[in-house]
Amino acid sequence: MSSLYFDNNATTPLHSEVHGVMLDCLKTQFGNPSSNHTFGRKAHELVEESRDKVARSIGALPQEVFFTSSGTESNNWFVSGISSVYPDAHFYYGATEHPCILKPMQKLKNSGIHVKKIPCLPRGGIDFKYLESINTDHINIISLMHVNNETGAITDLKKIRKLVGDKAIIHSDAVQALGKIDVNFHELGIDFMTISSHKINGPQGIAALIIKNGIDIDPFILGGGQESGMRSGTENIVAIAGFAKACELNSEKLQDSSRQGALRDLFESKISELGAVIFAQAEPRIENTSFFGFPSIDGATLITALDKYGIGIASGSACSSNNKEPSHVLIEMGMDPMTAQSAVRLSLSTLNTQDDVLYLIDKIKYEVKRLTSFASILN
Amino acid sequence: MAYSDKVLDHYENPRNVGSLDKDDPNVGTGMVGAPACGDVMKLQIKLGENGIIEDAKFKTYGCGSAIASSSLVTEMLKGKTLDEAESIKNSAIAEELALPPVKIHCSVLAEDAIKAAIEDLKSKK
Amino acid sequence: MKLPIYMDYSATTPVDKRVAEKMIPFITEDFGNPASRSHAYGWTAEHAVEEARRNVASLVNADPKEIVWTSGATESNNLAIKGIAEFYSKDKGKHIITCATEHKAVIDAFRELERLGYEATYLEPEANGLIDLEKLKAAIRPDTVLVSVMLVNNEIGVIQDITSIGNMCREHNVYFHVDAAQATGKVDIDLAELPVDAMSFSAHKTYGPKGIGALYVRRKPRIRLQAQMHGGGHERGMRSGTLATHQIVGMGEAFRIAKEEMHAENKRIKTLHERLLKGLTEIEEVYVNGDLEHRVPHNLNISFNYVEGESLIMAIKDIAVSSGSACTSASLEPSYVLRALGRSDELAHSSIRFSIGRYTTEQDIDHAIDVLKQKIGKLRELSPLWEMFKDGVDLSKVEWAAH
Repeated sequence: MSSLYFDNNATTPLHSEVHGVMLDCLKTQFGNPSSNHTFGRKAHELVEESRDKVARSIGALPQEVFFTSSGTESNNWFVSGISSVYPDAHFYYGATEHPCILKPMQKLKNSGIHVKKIPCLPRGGIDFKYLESINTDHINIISLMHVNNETGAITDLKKIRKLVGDKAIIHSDAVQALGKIDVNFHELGIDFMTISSHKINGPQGIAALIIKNGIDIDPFILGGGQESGMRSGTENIVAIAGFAKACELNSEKLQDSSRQGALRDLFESKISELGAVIFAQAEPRIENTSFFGFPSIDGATLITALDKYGIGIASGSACSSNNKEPSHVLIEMGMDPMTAQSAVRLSLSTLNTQDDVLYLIDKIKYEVKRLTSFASILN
Repeated sequence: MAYSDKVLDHYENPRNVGSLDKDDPNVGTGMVGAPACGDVMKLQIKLGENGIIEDAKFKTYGCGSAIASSSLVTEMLKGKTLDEAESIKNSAIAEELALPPVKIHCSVLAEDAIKAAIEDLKSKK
Repeated sequence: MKLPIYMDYSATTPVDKRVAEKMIPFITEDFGNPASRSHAYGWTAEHAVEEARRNVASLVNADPKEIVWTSGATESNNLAIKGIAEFYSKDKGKHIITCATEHKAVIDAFRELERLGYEATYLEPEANGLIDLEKLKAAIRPDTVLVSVMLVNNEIGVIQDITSIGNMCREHNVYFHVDAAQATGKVDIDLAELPVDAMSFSAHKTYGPKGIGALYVRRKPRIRLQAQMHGGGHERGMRSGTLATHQIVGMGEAFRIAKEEMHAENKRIKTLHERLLKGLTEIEEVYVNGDLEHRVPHNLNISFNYVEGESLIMAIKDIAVSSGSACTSASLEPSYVLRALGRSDELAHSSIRFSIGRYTTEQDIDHAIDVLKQKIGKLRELSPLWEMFKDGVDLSKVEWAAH
């Protein structure tokens, strides 16, 4: 297998076995899981078996898994649902979180709740010192992503737990961690976790919020009372079955990560020779991701140039590729806007071969040379 | 919700459906529940000369578990003395039928029906 | 004939094979993230999403720009109700109106707003399930910000007079949301003409996949709403979250087919409905719930007096029907919709919803009628209430030992 798709942190192709499960389900299963007849019961059983599989793959209990429509929804639910249970708590979130944590937190802050941003260090990791200084007598609610979607930097959640104490409620957006590093909910010692299917070769439109047994949170989407009353809306059964299969297959992906790491290191050593800056390189990172830039070349320009070879690569997060703002992650890391504007993200999958990466390097080399010469003419 | 095989059996082949003459001095009638709650049980017992329940009949408006509970009770009652009948507990009914928690009230209703039928019988003596 | 027979199309519909075929390529090859603007993978997905948006818009005669994707009608209802109320309450006030027979997704969103300091009016419908316009008019106040009424009721199938309700809202400067989850493909919807500001849709009630829906948000005059899900700014900032391309494609295709075939299909379903109605009303002591004229033929909600609904469903296990909406069928309460119509407890407890659709045949209907006649007879033999009725006892006069 070979692929010129290097944007696997945006979304991943469906695994063929996931595809098989979904097609089968699409053709044979159609009952509403809430219905009290054979069709409904079969759909209900499928949902519950899927919940079991998802739970097992991340070291959680089935009753701790709540299906949602996206990672975005899970993160919004967490912020909205926990703040209505604990309006007097102190909220903390990481500076480089995804917008679907940043914006709901901003909204909380605007409504007068105590909300603070945990700063990020120039290396790409969060500032642990900041957390040492918070008042642990208070109820603290902390949301920190396990792996950053742009830089790939990993946050040590067990260390966070030690710093903030047992009383704190910790949520982690683990959307980019799943499938790249081992994620075990109970071992991580956190209370809430967001995971998403389409980042692990499962379908789009399905995700989950993992809620530790016994922890209170209000629902976000109200109605018929599905998901034990926590998330209303008819269950997306085909996608749920696909998500469960993707979770089952996840361990295979983990086994491939050192190969991807070697490819990534090869890539980085070659582009460094061409003058690239690599972001968060000194930080513990997931092995499939490289976030880099050529100081004089706009990231979007390089991406467009590479697209004509059929190469799919991105400038940071897909959600924000529509706007012209430089990466907020790099700005938080203290980069100047010019450097941030140059950023390009490589994210590999099991499908990318060494030949694919060499081809990419070759094309980057050619395009960088061409674009630099333009730049020098213009200057 | 899936029903146990025993509930299905009693539901599909209910035992002792019917009515006894409620004016017979040896017949006790118990009617419990209300349409508003979704179940009404009518249970009748007939006492033999020897003080033993020789016949029991029921009619029930309600869910499958309610029908099964009352059908089972008619079987349990036959051959018992009134004292023995009075000691039948709802937990025994629920256990025998493997009722799920949301259906436990059906077994409670069946126990109430027994008590009401015995009371009616005693009031006639 | 294939058993069991599915007659629960209002709970969910099978995915049309043509819809499934259309979805398959987007599950396999064309997997890009529609928000990725920098490569062909993303563009292919975006193109498919936009084509689907045109198909959805076309069924309801809206502009594609007025369609926002969501995860289903429940989310659409939450977004419209909370979003409009939050956005406009500062100017208009905090009073909101809906009907007691709405879907739980609307009722619960209203309850949540009440918790946040809004005041809500739940209109009681008439005995036929329809809203009396005079009662609505009397309920509207200067501080009323939003009215939410469903087009087709999920339990009893009645069609509300959306045009008149909408005109009344316009007159009083009140925003108007309509839950149309049960209406697409069943009744004509022309949003260019209808005085509606926001409308919720679901794919899986119209032969599309589960987990996808849409919200129509009017552009002329422009309606604004407070986003409920924040993040990457997808769907023009109204609803963030990666779009599920294959599901969107499925919804688009389902709605395209609906537009093409609904008129012929509805004629056929009307004939089936009449057949079912005629057959079942031959049984003694049956009552149809909801207006017989202002209704979709896809639904027949009927109470079989003196027989309890759940035991009846068990008795007719070869026919998949429901005793009210699927969302609440796990609870033991009788249908709140029938209670709101003023039905007695016995009748509310005795109701069955038959909902038929694209794959229902005449033989299915005939079999259902036969089975019902036989099982109703059997259950009435078992029913003490039936015995009392036959003995001429007035049940409303009996003092029940409530428990």
